[in-house]
Amino acid sequence: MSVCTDAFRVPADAMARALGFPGFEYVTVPHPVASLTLPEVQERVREMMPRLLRILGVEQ
Amino acid sequence: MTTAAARQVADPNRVAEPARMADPAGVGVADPEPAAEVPNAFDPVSARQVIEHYYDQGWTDGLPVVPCSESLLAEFLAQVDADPDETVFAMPHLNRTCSVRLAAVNAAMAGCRPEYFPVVLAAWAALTEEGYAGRGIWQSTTGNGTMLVVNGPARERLGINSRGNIFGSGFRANATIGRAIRLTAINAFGLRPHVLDQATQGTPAKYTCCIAENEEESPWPALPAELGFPAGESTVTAMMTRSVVHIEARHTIEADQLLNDLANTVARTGALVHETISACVVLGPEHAHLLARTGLSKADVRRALFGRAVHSRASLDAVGKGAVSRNTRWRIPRDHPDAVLDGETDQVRVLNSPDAVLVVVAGASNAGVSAVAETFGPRGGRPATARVKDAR
Repeated sequence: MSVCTDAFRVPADAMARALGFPGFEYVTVPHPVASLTLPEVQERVREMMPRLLRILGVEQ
Repeated sequence: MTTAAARQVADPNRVAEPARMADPAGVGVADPEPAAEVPNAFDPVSARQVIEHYYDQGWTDGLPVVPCSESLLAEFLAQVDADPDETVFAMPHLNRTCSVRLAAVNAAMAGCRPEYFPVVLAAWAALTEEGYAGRGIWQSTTGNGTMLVVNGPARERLGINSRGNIFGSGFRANATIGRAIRLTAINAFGLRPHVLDQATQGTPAKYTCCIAENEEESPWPALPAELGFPAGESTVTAMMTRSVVHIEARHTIEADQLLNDLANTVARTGALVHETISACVVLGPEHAHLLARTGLSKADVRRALFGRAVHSRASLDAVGKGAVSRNTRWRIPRDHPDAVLDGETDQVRVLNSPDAVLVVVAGASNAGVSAVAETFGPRGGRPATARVKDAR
């Protein structure tokens, strides 16, 4: 499962194409992450979990 | 413009209306020599169409490229004893490789003369040995470009500048050999900005960065001699660089002061993304001789910089880099949840070993000016140096 910030959507799609997986699904979170506080990171994770689980095929 | 049309206008035998080249130097009729050398068959309209075709294909670094015909490609391939299908560089994480043929096409487009091509292939061999370029650092937000250092007789034979304005413009061999690497990265590996090249800001080295060691004005053995290459061989040493920072020390006459100035520049906190760093110190000949007069060898300079590239914990705390991540070993503030101290002392070394610094001598003997190329790659060990193999 891949997770990246939305700033990397174009390179991520290009990498997927380069490796033969066009349309590969991954989760994006708002940029940036490196400069967030721990509570802000935790909020990002809570917010992305439903999308992450959907891609993994977990029924919610 | 179709590819077929591009081939047609690229035909070097096509006869066109006589034309004069525009004068890019503003010399005009005052200097009849350039106009006299223009062949009658030159067709500027077709030439422009071909250049625009390369732009339309996205096959440039933003500057015009030289159209590469099959006959020009053959001239490049004749310069080396290598199978055109042989792989010269691979980026496995992108599922892409570059062959000798593709490297030659891009070298021609970069403006290289065919006889430069063995140096370009040596650069690819050195980059392969370096290891980091093939693993993604070339695509990093940090924004690295390649830096090449050429040694040996190829410098004089090909006109690779080692004596003044080495990081600047004006020398075809320097400009185009470095550019050949970058154009290949764009065209063969797809490292285009905003796509697979994610550089936040990048570096001018992403256009070109190829210097030569000023062996003649250096007080020390040249780089290949240090590494055990036989005398008379030419070599290329490759590294990835983000910044070239200069050191002004024109009035310093004490080696100690100069070493401190160099070490402070090598260790500058802005360069510290990881726990430690690496650098190529490019000493101007004046600085090299100042250090050599006190009995220091290149190895002594590396050891001295290793010993002096030190920060107090407080100075690192002041810039939010007083600790490292327990996971990534990147520098982070001490109050970060992942923070651990890198060692127990208040004095923090930012070089792993003296070998994390490469020392070369290049530039003019006209001022006390040197440079530090901040490199991203191995932090120690043998430099990535490859022999230039000319065709037998």
